[in-house]
Amino acid sequence: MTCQLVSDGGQEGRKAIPATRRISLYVDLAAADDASLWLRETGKACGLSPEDMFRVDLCVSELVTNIVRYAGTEPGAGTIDISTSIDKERVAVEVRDNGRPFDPLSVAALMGASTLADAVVGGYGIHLVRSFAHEVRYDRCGGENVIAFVVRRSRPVTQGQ
Amino acid sequence: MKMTLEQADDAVVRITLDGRLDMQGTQEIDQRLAFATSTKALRLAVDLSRVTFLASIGIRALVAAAKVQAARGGRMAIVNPEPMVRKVLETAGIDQLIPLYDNFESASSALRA
Repeated sequence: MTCQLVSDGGQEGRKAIPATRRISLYVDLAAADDASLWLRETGKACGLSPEDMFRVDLCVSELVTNIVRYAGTEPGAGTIDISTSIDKERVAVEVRDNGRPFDPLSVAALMGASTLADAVVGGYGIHLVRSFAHEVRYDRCGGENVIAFVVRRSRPVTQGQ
Repeated sequence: MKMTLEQADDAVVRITLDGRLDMQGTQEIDQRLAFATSTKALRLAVDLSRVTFLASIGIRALVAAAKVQAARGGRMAIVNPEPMVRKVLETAGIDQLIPLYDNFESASSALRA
């Protein structure tokens, strides 16, 4: 499977997958792993470098884990929709859920502890998203939480690659 | 996710993790790691050289183990994380809480000191 990049216009003779791909998942404990597996297949098909793939994988894993923890939806009623758009320069990802309104970016920045005794065991996820994505924003739209983030590709590919 | 535990030398116990420390991987080793690190004080080197991915749930397991060891009078170090795994640890400030070493020998020397 090869990847058609957004900006190359779909050249004849090239096997292509859509530059934008989507997946829908139920809000359950397997969601983060299912999302990650799907992302890694997508990233591999599109030739993402291991570092870029790691960044995207980490951000989606943290966001989905956060949704599973805080969406507050009944079993089987909560959904997470993820779309990715990959071009030569960047990976843009949108993660939507129909849980209760929650802006994870409103959570206070992580305050690093200086000793293990003072350290909190959790609370690192959103800090990692802020740090590993190059852009991230939240909107409440159509009854859904929408987190969109961008990872700029570390090694832009050239046409024909 | 695989986890192996060995008495690496006369003083230091080495735990080697192999795989992805994501939701599934962490769940697979969480209880074994907690049991291994909570029963007595250890000089513990956790080798992450074969860990290819680290999410916050994996950090949670590592910090919990280090906190228990500190409370019991033990010490824990992290050995040779992959570059992106190291970046996660540093970004989360874990390197300020659990020392990172490039190899087992360095970790062992520090844990004995």
